[in-house]
Amino acid sequence: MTDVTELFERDYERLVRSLGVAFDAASAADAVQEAFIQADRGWTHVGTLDDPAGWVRRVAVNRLLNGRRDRARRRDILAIVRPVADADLTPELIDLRRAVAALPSRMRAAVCLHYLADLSIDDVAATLGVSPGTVKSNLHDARIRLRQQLGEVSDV
Amino acid sequence: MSERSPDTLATQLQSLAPTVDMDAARRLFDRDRIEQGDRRRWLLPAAVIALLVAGVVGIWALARDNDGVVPADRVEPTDEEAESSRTPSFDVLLVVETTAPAGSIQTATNADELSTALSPLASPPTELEVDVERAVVGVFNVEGDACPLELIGFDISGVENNVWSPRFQATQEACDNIGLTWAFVVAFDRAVFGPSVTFVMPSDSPTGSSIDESEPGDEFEMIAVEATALPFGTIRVAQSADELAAWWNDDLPGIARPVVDFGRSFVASFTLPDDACPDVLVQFRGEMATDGVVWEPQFEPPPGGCEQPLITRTYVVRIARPPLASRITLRLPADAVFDYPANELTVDVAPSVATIEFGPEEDEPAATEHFLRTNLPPTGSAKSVMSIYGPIWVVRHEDGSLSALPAVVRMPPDEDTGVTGLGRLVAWDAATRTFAGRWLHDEFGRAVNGPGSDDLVGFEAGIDGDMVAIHRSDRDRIPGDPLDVPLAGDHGLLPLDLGDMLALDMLPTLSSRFAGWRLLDASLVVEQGVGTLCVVDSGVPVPDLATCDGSWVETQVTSAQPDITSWFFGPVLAETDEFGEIITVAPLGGQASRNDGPPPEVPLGDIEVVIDDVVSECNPTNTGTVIVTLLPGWTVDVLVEVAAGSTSLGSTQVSLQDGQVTDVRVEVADRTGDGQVVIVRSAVDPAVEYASAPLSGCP
Repeated sequence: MTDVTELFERDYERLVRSLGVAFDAASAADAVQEAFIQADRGWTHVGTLDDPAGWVRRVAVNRLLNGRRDRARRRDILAIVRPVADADLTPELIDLRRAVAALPSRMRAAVCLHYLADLSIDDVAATLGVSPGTVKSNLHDARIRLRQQLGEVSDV
Repeated sequence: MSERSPDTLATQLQSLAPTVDMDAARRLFDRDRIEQGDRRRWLLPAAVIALLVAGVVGIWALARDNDGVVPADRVEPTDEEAESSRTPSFDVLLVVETTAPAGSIQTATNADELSTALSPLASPPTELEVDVERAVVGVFNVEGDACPLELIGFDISGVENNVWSPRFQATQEACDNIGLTWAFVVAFDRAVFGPSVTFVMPSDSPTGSSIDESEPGDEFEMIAVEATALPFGTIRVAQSADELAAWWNDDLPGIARPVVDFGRSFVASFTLPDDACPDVLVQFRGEMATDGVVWEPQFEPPPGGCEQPLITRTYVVRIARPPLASRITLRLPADAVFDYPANELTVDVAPSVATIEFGPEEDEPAATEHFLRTNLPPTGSAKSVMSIYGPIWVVRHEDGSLSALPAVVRMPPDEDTGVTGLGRLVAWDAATRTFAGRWLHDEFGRAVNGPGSDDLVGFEAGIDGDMVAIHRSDRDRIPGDPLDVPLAGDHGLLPLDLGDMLALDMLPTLSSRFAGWRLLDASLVVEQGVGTLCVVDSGVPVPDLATCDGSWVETQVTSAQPDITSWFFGPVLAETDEFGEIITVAPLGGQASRNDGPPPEVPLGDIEVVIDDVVSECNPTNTGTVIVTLLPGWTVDVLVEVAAGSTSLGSTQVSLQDGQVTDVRVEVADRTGDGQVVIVRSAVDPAVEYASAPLSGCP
């Protein structure tokens, strides 16, 4: 990875879109933005890591899980990201959105990072700071909860 | 065998994902990076910026004839106007939308100042053809609509013709989208000015944000909150450094007086009854008066509140000057509980101006303003004093000269914990007259066992009567090799003055833009690569030591080893930059760390794999193929086995993907006999079974 801008171009949008479903879109954009700023600040170290992208994801998710916000930047953030309005969704997708929102925060993050950001189990585990087995367990539980909340038949 | 449709969860979640404007994201990222202090990334190499662009300057120079007469294509004043105004040559480099407040002015006389002045622009240029060594750049921010005004000239006034005010005119009828602020970036030949120039926005300029707004805007900053002996309801105002000095030392004795840009701000103080947790100034509430406006500060208690004895506390606020000259009455209402009357103080606040004072002639020494005075230590000794630039050691050498050296140094990344952004205090040993920080230093700050680049450099200091005056300008390194001093010493921190210690929850009371060092009653916890200040109980054993919960403050301290959690116990000396970010933390307590490692694995037995179907083939050789259809709950490696009792008849290892139906073929050596069963086991630990199903034998 040559510099942080290359990483930004590659990962920013995907990360904001995936975390924007797990958390609110503006908070996700703010957290990812701040994570990249921190990466830029410490690039002499972050750039030498095996997985700088993983470092950025970890910082962004930590900020979201801890509820950290940069209020001064909020207006600019709102110009960057636009959530999908309920009016643009089918009733089934609205239900799915509510069901996802009802999941515990780490489980939500695991679901969105795996299915939306297309991260492997190991990468999700590294981002959340847990074991791959825990991620698998979270995903499994999330699917069961989503099926139950959405009224699908759970047995096969 | 039936097939299942692919998992649609990913597809459905994609429909919920927000859209992202990457152009806007890039602009914000670039802007934030600049504001974080890294101003070199968007500028072209310095040589390009600083080089004289012959074409531009040559043309500009040719625009003036040898007598310096204003060229004919510029507006010529009438005789009546000549007394009060003149339109000098200038060059409008840019007119672009900006986030700077309307009515404000930025100036630049070097590349760094130019970068700062241009940073609020909506689209900062990547290249600006101006020789900042010979030009002065002014950025004049004017409220307008979608059609920017035209800068047609400058009115010059003042005793020495050194007050310049831009003149604007509309270019066409008003457009829609009112409320935009336009930045006019203007270059002047420095030779046009005398020793100084003051730029001021004209009184009739369309600045938009006028004094009749209900609030003075976002530009106020708490610069001191101290317990005092002043009567409740006292109000003070200062519009210059002298005015501030006139009451500061009496009202706030022993507190370092902050440096304020009085060209852009004025200072007000309010004394109120309070408790042990100081209130937070959230805004000024304004209302119209017959000859101006009345501003009343609005305080709110911090979360949680306190139950402590009554304290008198003075809040000192730096307030940005309005764009127009304004009569402002500051008011504190009466309080029946604490029985003091209302108080008002009316002040005529001059508008925001930008003054540049050019350097003195070469044979004149540069005057520097001292920011701190302290008692002169005895010859051959050192004393410490706290300032906004951090704690300072003042050394009086045997020859009577002085050194003012920093008592805190920034450390390189910690090798053990990978933490970046730590500081370390510098201790003094009176016997050997040496300092110990990262290295051992002689009394002049020269590193004895380290590189010269790590010398303690510090500030200029001079004797003023029986006091030491410490100046803002940096001191040059004392030349020569360090003194021959003992390498060991009894270095202590006890006489080090670190100022009053703040509780962590008092930090938000101060400005988010307070730059400087403060002693905080908190510890630094670096977890998952991010450093946070909070209160932790250092007496708890490390395995059970808590990380930050409850009240916390984020820092710019980071770690390249996110698997290591480190505690740096307080109190801490924390440095805040001009953007309110805590950039350095010097812990005064001990240190502990823990390698968290990977959490324990989820028991394999908890993983669920479902056998959907089993299809068995039989052939004349009594071998057979068993096809097992699996529905995995997640991604896992499994061993699919056909067994009879404890005898394995065949097996296949396969990697299952979460949600993906997988058919597994198992070649079985002997399909005859009863009691055969399909077993799905963990490939990691075959003793763990996920699922099983009976299998009929072949005839």
